[in-house]
Amino acid sequence: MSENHIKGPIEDLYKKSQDESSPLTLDNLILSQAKQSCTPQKKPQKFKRKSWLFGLSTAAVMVMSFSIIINLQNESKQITTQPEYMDIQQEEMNLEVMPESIPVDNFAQRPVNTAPAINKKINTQKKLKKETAKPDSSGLAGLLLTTKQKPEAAEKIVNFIEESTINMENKSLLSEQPVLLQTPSKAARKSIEQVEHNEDIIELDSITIADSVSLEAEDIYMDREKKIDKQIEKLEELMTQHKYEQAKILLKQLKSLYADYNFSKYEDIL
Amino acid sequence: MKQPSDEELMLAFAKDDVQAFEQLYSRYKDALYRYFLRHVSNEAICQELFQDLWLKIINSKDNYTNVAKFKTWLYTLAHNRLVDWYRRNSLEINAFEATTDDIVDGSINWRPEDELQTKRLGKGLKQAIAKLPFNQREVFLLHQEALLTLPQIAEMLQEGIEKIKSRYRYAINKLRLNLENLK
Repeated sequence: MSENHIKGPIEDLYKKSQDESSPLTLDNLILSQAKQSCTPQKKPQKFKRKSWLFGLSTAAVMVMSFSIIINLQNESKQITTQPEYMDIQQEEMNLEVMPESIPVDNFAQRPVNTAPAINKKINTQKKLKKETAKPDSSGLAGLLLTTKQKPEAAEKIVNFIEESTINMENKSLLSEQPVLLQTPSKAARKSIEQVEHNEDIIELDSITIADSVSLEAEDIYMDREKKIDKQIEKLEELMTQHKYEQAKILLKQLKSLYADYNFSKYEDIL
Repeated sequence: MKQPSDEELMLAFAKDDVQAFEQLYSRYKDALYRYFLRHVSNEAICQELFQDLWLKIINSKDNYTNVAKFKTWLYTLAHNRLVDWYRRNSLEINAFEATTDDIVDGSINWRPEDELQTKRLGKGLKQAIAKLPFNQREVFLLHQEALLTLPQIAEMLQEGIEKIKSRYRYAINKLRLNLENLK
């Protein structure tokens, strides 16, 4: 018996009778398993976000947040301006109206007016307040708001105030009456009552002046709005008549005149 | 052109070379199939064991190290799988250990040119192999199918070489006796 491979009739006969082999289906199964083990397993596909969509959404969020912050800042400024105005008003009232600050001896020397006149002025002021509904839309606060909202109207308003104050100063000099540009506060009203009690009435023309200033500002603003509306109507007419070139020229002019107004709708159409 | 060794092919397969595996599979598939078939004498069980073994090889490709010969490693896995199957089915492995009394000396009157006789004897031989005790059949098949030398078989089964030699001799003698009875 050799150590390597034994040869004999049995071994030869066995070799001759080796006719079995693995079935093809089994071969294919095993080979496919081998292939599967070699191919790297695909990772589950994640939802691919489009990069531009992500960028756009972040930009939109940024713009929105900035606009909100700016609006909040504007609102806070508006709120802060009101007390300042009220303080100034208070000071002015104390200086010019408060009877306590005036000595009794000189009280008779102060300018006086009739009681019904003052009552009339206060009533008109109350009326104006009711009409404007918003507390800050009347008087100087309202005026400040209108100037903020419509910067172009601001110059006109300022000029008007200057003119009116000059006129009133002249008037006060003639009539020797105090001039106020603010609406009266509670303290002012108290002082007025005291004056009435003492039958010494101080005329407060300033009340009507402030209101009239605000009304004038509103009128200017309304005129402007009307003008814009008319121009837009013209523009729309031109567009309906298919006169696009003329419409474009008009739109340009409008844009230059009213920069704060949004003409994007018409720009898009043209 | 020099053919790559089994070990080289297996290492290539470990690096995801499917063709290497196909080559390796084609080298051993038939011999291994017959190895199982002779042992269990049932095609369905044979196919099950055969598939299990190759799947085990596929799954353990990453852990394969070129320490032992691939053929020895392959047949060690096959042997272990077979022993496991025997144990699960409560079959005796060491039921029959050959003694000197079992040795039958003789020769068969076989003419290889006679195809009909070869077929008939071949069939008889397969039946005789199936009747062999597990240890003798294992040594005979490892020698004839796996083409392992007796020392290699001894090393693989962790048995003494003399014990393996005697097992083989007993197996041959029994097969010869069975073939003599066929005449």
